[in-house]
Amino acid sequence: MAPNIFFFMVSVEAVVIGGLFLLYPRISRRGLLFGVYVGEERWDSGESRRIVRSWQYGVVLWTIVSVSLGMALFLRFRSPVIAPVSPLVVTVGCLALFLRAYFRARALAAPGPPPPAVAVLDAPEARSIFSTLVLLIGVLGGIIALSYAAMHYAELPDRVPTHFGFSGRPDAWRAKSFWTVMLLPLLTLVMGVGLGGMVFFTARAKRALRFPQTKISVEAQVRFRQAVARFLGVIALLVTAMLTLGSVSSVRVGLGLDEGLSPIMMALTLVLLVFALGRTLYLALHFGQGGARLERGAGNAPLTDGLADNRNWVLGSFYINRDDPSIFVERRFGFGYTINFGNWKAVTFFVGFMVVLLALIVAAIMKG
Amino acid sequence: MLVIMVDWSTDEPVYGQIARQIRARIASGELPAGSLLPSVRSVASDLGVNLNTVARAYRILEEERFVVIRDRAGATVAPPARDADGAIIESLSEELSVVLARRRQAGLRSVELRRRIGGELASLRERGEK
Repeated sequence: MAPNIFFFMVSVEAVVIGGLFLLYPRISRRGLLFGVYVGEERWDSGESRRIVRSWQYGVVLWTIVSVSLGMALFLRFRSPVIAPVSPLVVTVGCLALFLRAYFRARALAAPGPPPPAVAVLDAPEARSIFSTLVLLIGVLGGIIALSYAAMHYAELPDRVPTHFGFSGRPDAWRAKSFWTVMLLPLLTLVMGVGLGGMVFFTARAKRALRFPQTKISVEAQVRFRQAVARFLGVIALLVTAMLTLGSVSSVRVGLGLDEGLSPIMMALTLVLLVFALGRTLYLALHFGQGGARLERGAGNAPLTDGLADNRNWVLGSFYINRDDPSIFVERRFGFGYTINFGNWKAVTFFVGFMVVLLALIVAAIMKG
Repeated sequence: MLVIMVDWSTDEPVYGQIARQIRARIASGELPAGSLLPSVRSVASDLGVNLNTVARAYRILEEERFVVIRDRAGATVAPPARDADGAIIESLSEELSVVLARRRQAGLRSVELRRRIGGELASLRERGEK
């Protein structure tokens, strides 16, 4: 790709990151300010608005600085190594701004014991066949990719394609080995299990309830949880389809049966990108984080449970509750879900997925 | 919507708070015989407490014959036993006399006390017949 287009895309990425950070306080639940539960009344106070305003100015300013810095460096050195500078600088800067806002919000939080926790006795429990299906399809895609590559391993020539250009034609070849053949099928399986697991746990994530307007908040957050699980499910299915197709296709190219990757792959990549970004924005604006915009009818009814208990949150972002059996919990700041870092199953899933994924990426870089 | 709450600022243990509130819901008829209670995991996840804490509350309610726990079907509110269990009734008579005495000590007159007991019994009977 031309360096100019690549650089332009990276700058857009930096602006998108800044834009999302700008959006987060606007979609957060009533009572939650930069990852701190300050109470519904204080959330509406002048001090709270000042903290948000100063955050907004900071993020806008910092995004402009980061993009300009990236641009200046690129014009000076004209090297693709410069590309990650602006997204990286904008992220680091916004994290620093977040910490500042977080500590200001903590000073604002209402003193005293945490609000009571509430459990619902008569709400239907999370059952999601869709999420189970997505997980199974993810595993199935991995198995298909792995067995297709394994079945044809012996027939493959000594040199196999390891990289494909934008046209879908191979532009790099390497000696046949376990890694050069099996890397993509393995990645298919790992992504299938990882993304499928995310969908599965999202559909069963911890509920965040208000009291006394419990019914409104249960319905709002169940709708949000379903919408996010469906969204992630479609992404997981698209990624599985892409990687399975890619794995099978690259073996076929190696065997000389096809000239290049199927054009469907390129189309799927584009659909995936547009869908992921567009749908995230739509869900965030339509539902608000956790369904915040659907539970407006609950007024100032206080938030309960894990989300309201500041004792369980470190830096407003990490939920650590050893007792809580929940695997996924709503984010307090941002959009979507995070894991319960106090639950060994959640940590195993998250760390395991990350380690295996990183190992595969490292293997891909080292082995070609 | 039926909810139970855990108050972090009292000395009452969490399992005791859970058992007491479910018991009160059963006594008031909000949870009639046969209603399915949420799974231990669901309550523990909602409240952010240990699975064992909720399981302990459910076991207490089972011992008190308020609920029946079946491994797969979960916990359901138990119907009243058909045959009176003499031992349990005997052990509860002290509890009854303490409750009556406390009401009296609080200034409730015997006539009023009798009227209230009659009312409670009537509503229990009514629910039992449904």
